[in-house]
Amino acid sequence: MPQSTPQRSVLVILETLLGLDSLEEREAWIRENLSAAPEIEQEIRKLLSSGSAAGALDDLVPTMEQLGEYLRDLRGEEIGPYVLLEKLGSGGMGDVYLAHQNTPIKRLVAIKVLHGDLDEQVEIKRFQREQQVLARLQHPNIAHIYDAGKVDSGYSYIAMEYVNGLQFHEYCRRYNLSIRERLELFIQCCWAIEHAHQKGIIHRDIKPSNVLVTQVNQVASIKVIDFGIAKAQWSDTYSEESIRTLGERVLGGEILTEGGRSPGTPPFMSPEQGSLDPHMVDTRSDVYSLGALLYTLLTDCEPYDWDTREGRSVDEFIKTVKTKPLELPSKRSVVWASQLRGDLDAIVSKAMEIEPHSRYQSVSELIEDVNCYQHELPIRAVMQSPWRRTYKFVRRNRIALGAGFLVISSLVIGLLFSIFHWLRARDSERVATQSRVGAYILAGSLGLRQGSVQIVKDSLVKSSKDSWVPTAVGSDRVQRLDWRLLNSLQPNQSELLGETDGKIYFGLSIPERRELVVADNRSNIVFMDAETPGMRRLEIVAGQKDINGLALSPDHRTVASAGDDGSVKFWDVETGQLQRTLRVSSEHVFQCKWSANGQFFCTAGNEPGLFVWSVPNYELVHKLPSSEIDLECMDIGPQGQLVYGAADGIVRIGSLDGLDQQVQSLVLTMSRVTHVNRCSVVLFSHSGDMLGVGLDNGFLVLLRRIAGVYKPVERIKFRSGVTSLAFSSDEKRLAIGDTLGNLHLLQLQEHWPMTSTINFRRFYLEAHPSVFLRAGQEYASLWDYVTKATQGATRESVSGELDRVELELNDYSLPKLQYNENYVREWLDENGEFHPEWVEFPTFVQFKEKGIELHFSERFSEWKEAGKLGEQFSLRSWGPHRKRISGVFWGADETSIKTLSEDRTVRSLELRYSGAGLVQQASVDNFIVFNGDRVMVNGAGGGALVLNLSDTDSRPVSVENFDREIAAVIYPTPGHPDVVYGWRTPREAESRRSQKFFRLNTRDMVAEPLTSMPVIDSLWQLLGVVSRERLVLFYRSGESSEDSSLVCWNAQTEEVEWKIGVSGEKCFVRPVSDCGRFIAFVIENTLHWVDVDTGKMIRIELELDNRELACAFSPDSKYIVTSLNINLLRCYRVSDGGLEWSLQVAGPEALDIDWSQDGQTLVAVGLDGVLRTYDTTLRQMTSEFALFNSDRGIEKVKLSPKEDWLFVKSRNGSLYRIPCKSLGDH
Amino acid sequence: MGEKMGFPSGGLYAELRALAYALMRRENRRHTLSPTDLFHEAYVRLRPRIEENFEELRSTKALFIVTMRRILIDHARRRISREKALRGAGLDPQRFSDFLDANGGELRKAQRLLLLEEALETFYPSFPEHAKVVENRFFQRMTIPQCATALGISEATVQRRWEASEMWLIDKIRELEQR
Repeated sequence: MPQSTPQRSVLVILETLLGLDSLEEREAWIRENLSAAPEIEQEIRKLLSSGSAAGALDDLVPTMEQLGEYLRDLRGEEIGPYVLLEKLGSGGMGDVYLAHQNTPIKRLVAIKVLHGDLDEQVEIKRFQREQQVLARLQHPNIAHIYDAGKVDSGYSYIAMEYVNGLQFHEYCRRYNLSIRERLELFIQCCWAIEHAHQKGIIHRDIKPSNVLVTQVNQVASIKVIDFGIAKAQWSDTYSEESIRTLGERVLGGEILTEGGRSPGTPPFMSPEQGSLDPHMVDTRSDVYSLGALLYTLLTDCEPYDWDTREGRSVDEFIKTVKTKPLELPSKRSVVWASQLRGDLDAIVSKAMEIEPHSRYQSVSELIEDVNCYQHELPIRAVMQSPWRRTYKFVRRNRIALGAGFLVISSLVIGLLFSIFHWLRARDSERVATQSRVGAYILAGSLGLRQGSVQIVKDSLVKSSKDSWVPTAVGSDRVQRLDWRLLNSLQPNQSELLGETDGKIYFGLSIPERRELVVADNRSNIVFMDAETPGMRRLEIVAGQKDINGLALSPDHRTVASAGDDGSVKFWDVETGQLQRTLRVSSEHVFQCKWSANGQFFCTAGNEPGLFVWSVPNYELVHKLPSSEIDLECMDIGPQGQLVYGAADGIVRIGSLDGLDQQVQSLVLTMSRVTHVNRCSVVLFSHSGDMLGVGLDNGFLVLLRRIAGVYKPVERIKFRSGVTSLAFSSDEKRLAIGDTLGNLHLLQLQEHWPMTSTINFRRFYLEAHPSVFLRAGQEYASLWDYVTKATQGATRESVSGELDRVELELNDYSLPKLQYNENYVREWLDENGEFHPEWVEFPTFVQFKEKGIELHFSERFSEWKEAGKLGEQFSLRSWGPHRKRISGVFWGADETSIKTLSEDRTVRSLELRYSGAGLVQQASVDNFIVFNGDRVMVNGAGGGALVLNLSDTDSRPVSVENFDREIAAVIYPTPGHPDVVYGWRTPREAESRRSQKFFRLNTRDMVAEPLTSMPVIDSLWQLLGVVSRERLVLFYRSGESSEDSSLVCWNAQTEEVEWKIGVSGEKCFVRPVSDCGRFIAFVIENTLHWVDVDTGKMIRIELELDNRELACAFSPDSKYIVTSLNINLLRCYRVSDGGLEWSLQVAGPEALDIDWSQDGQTLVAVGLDGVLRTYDTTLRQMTSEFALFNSDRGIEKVKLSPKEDWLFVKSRNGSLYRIPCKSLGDH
Repeated sequence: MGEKMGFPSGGLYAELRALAYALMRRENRRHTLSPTDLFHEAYVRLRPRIEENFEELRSTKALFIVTMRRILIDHARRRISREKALRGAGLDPQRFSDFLDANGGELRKAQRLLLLEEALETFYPSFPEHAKVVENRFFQRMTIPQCATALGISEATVQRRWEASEMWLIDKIRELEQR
């Protein structure tokens, strides 16, 4: 700006004037000097007239303190689309503000701002990691993350869901919640943390102020916030050194004061968080913090006093925590001392153990115990007195045990009952405190059959009205289940609530009104009181022909009915008034539902496709394509996932958020030979993590969300079609209704479904297997007693030691276990010896992925020990001879194989896909190890690759780009170690003449079709590998099922040795005799065995339907014994098929049989899970032993060569090793 | 305006601010670091880059003043956009205490701060001697005697220059307000 003289002079003049003391002097000066310049005079006068300016600017210019304040105060700062409004708090990495977002959506958000970027490398990396961490979390009880980034002005931010709620503890106090209500909310909080753990994230700062409670539809709901210091467990994006740098330079000692100490809030921080080693912190640290949170909730005080005013350092505090025993909650609580004493004291103490390994090992264990407390089941936390446990058991099973009591001596009865009454009196207190349990626990539950609504109330907890049990009594379809909480099943406790005129196809409950709404096929909608039989509040004649489906709006004010006339009608819940009619199609609408956020409404009908309507105007916004086949069922998950199943058996999963995006299609047809299966029901679990699909053919498929994609993890076959599903609120149980009127209860395991099925008709047998398993040996005698009492058996109680080595072969490998008998191949070395430490153990991976190395190695050492014993044994017939392999192998995820070698180092082999369109969806659980160091991975999406384990830079090579999975691979023959034979599943549409059998040279990865095999145009089945050279295959050669053949192929010569025509289609058992000369199988009702040397076949016609049977060759190959489902064992001579003997078995049919080496003893396991031994000379049972309780029974049993151990594999994937002496026959 | 005034801008400014912030936090906790130390430290750490980029910022003082003015402007702008955003979010700013005090509260103060900056823009080149006094009084919070010593002039002169400057600036602010 040019310097203007007048301007300059103005100020000089002014200055001069100010030097004059009085106004008169100034006036005189002005008159004297400025009369010649009127503009300046005017200017000066104006300035002077504005009065004394002294101090006027001081107000504007801040003091140093204010300046500091201004630096910290970011309110008003614009960061991206957000304007910060108010500071909500300060977290570890920055401050949290309430912010307003203007575009694209106007909303309030919580935004965490990292101030500054001094050490850009470290800081930003850490911040980005946090973003990634949070983005992985999708849970209704975790504050959502909307957006994250960095703006030009240098701020990094994360925008999160703004939770307008009270802090957990404050909420509890303000509304004066009971213990039970507090625990309910606490469990919600635990689930959220557990969800994070499953995603590999540790919260690390759980405390009351990070857990908020909001009201959603009048129901309290937990929101866990501030995953600010959350740590991805396997993350190595910042080293210890960088933490130190960060702590020193940026945070100036505030958070990361001493080296790598993990941030946290002392009274809620686990002791190991105070240590200097950040690697000490794992998910169990969160368990500690949850325990401390629970402590606070129950006692209204923090577990340890931490007085910051005294300037105590964190170290001192941790020292106190480590040395001073925790004061029990019951001692601290003023009001609840008596209720807290016992179980709750124990739960809190166990969660807050100093040593991580003494705590609950996972949040789900903690949840389980809290749940057990809520449901009055025994908890695991303390060693309770046996009587207390028995008491609880009796309480839960009063009726089932009724008969059992009669056989007990009167003395015992007297004792039991006196304790029972004493405890019962004590317990009435608890019931009284529980009576306030809110409407959110109470949920109407109904089992509907044709024309009647039935409710079963659990009499045991009836007084607290928090648990109703659905069931359907009778032989009709269980048409619809609506169920929130299920404690136990009491088949005898049903109550008829009312009947309708027509058949009922749909029903739902309105929890807060305690009402059931049912619709029948005469188009009536009835609102029934769920508590009073016969009471109806409203009856609506809907006029829609049949009503196929009902839906309740998220605000519970509107019920929608989907009618056969192609319309959906909306009814006011209060008045029953028709609010709106939506015309959907010209024909039927099967189902309708609102999305959880109330923004969409979906309808499914027989106009192909799923319609998505916008709310509140109900305009059609999208039409999801489906096949030309009718949509049968659909469901909307909590996060807007959309699933719909059609009559073609294909389930499609999409999302309301991305309607245009491609949907995930899953073909759930179970068998290659069965026909198309209609999907009859699909249902998301409450968290959306699980998806159940019921099929008309009785299959239930459970899918789990893994990395955003639903994958089948379990398939279960029921006898009749699955019609309805209901997940319990804690997602640990699943109720299944079938077309025969049965209600089944599935126990879902912590991470993976599932180990046992409970049929409610046999509920007393299966009551609470988890409790049994947990209680272990102490419980065994009681267990035995229950079993005996309910079966009416007279046998002696066998309470032998159950030296159990449990191997959880769950998750991915379970379906494989069920359908592929070759799963044990990798467990055996070249001498056929069993090496337990080689066993695939996907659960390890779980732990590993979570970074809990300790678990991994602990479990592994357990196996090492088992391995020492195991080396003495061989499980001869469990698979063909294997090359020795150098470790444990497992498919960690879709793209890598992990190995654990003998020195316990873990290696990960990445599968790199070549550009040749190789393995589209390589499911790495499907692989074999051969030739010592080679791994071949069969891709489910087609293709295969071979990796060399010893080569660090293994280059996978494409075998062939198949579009179907490779069905099996035959191992290399001795002469040609590099050659692998295999074949793949043929495609339906494929040319009948196509060659599917191939030979692969793994040296150069050249695969050639094998022309020496007969051209086969239909199904292949590998019956068995009888020796390293010879394999026997079963195939169907023509259209007719009569034209099946058996072929023996010699891999040495690559020639067919012989071929036999057989009739029949289904082929089951395939044991190979010890000498490798005979192979047996069952086709329909006929047992066959073949002498592989000669091709001679013997057939035995059996009087039974085609069931999966067991048979076994005797060690000398002279006899074959088979189990029939008419409870018989029959022994035939192998040479001529003559019947040697026959034996009635105790209990149901045997699922597996084995001979002892001397041929003297037969071991058989029954469908009832009982192991029995038989003497083949005396032809009688010599002992029996209840091994495992599960109606999935035992699948395999093998004796060790010295016959001092018995290996048993249960059908739920557990492996047991039992010392034979406890069986009593040696 | 920042560029014209020779402010460090962009990355350097952000760095400066972050550092000041971190140091402030530490200062706040330990009560040992004086504001001058703070800026001194900031200067020492950042000098290599400052020298590289800004010849005129070779002194601690210049850095100090520049930073402080920048903080003030930032603050004032935030006040104004916060008020707007509160209204945008359907919240009444009157419900927030800092918008309630006399003279229209913080919002008016913020607006005046921005006008002061604008006024200074004219003021600085027009009255360099006065500008020195204003800088010392405003942004270094010097007393009149300190100021006199620093500038090597009499206290009476400082006093007069300061008052005259204040008068001029306030008048200018009023003028700008009426615009």
